Amino acid sequence: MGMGHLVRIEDGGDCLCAPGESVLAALGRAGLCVIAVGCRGGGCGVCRVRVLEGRYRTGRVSRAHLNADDEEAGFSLACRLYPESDLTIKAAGPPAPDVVTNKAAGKPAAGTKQSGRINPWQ
Amino acid sequence: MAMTGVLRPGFAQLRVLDMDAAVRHYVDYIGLSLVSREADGRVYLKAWDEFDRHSVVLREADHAGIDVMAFKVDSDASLADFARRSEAFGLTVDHVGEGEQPGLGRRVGVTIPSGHRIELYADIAAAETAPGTHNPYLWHEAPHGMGAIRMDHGLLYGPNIEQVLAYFTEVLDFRLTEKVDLPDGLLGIWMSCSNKAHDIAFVKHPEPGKLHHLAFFLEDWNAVGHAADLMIRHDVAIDIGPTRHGITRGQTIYFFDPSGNRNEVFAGGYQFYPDQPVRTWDHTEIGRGIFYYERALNDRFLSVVT
Repeated sequence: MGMGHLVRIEDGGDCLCAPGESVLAALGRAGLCVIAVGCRGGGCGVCRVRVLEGRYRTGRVSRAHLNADDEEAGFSLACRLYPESDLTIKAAGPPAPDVVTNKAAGKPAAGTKQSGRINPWQ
Repeated sequence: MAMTGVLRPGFAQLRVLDMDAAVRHYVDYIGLSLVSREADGRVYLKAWDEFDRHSVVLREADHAGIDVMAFKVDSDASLADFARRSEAFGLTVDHVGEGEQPGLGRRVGVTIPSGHRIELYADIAAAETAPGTHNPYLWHEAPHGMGAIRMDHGLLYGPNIEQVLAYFTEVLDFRLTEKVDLPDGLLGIWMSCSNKAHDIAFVKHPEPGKLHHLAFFLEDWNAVGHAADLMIRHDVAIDIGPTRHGITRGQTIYFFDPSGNRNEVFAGGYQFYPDQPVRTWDHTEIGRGIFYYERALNDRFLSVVT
């Protein structure tokens, strides 16, 4: 076991991924909110990324969100992506949202960005 | 009104990606008991205060989600009646023979307009470790893990929830307890067949047949806190909570099983009676309706489903 591997996000910073740690967990630990966080279990597909460079292994993911062709093309779910060398990845799923809506006003809260996904106010 | 017809959610069959990880989650962490592993790979579970043989079925598959939500009805006559009324409503009714699951009697099934499979059954074997009935203790063995008392309800996502509302209220005799009404129509419906604030709920979603969460009932707010402590200790992925819902008033944590299926542990909630009016939430306060303390939805509430 080494010290881990560097994960670079194209256009979005980098972080160190510890041995056995998923890329999504490493990003979260580093406070890099550049990939949408969903179920963290390979089931929902929102943390989809594409690996541009590097070696890696993957855990089981739902075939509803990632088929064999996707995997062949380097797509993966960050919650089930484990680097085996330094990696360069880019986000390939829905945009990472901040907290989404305010509350009483039913409008986007000041300073938060909208995800552009299903939204009851649209 | 006596409780007749549909009695309660009886069992849910979930798809999981890794059975060993799923069993650890549902048995060791949530606190269900392992009833049996069958030759076809399915695993049967129950909560400690349930009299029936099983209430959760796990099936290993290459994609997560829910196969079926099944309700127990009070008699075979009711089962036949609901099958007839479902056909009159316009749904195709199919029949699953006795024994397709161990201990389970015949089932009737429909695919409702949201794309979900709903089944009804009247007969299921009694659990080997059912709660006591003669000078009973609270339990035979102290509950473990989060101490889930029962499988409580599900929230399902799919299209055509107006038709789903019609089916559950007009055919299965559920009552609408709460709804979220937006300027462009219904977003969500919470329905009861019992004294609970909800037994099943649906939220409008473009993809059919999706699972938002399957919920387990806990004793109280302290049990919810203990569940949160266990989730941190075992690195369970928490979605939100501990918090409270405005809708149903339940005290809650949303979290995920190792395959990404959302679970809920749920305590409290009001008692519902069928003469009570429907509670309505609109677009100005929906955040407080879903997450009462945060007064805001998190993005995942509307977008992360299996």
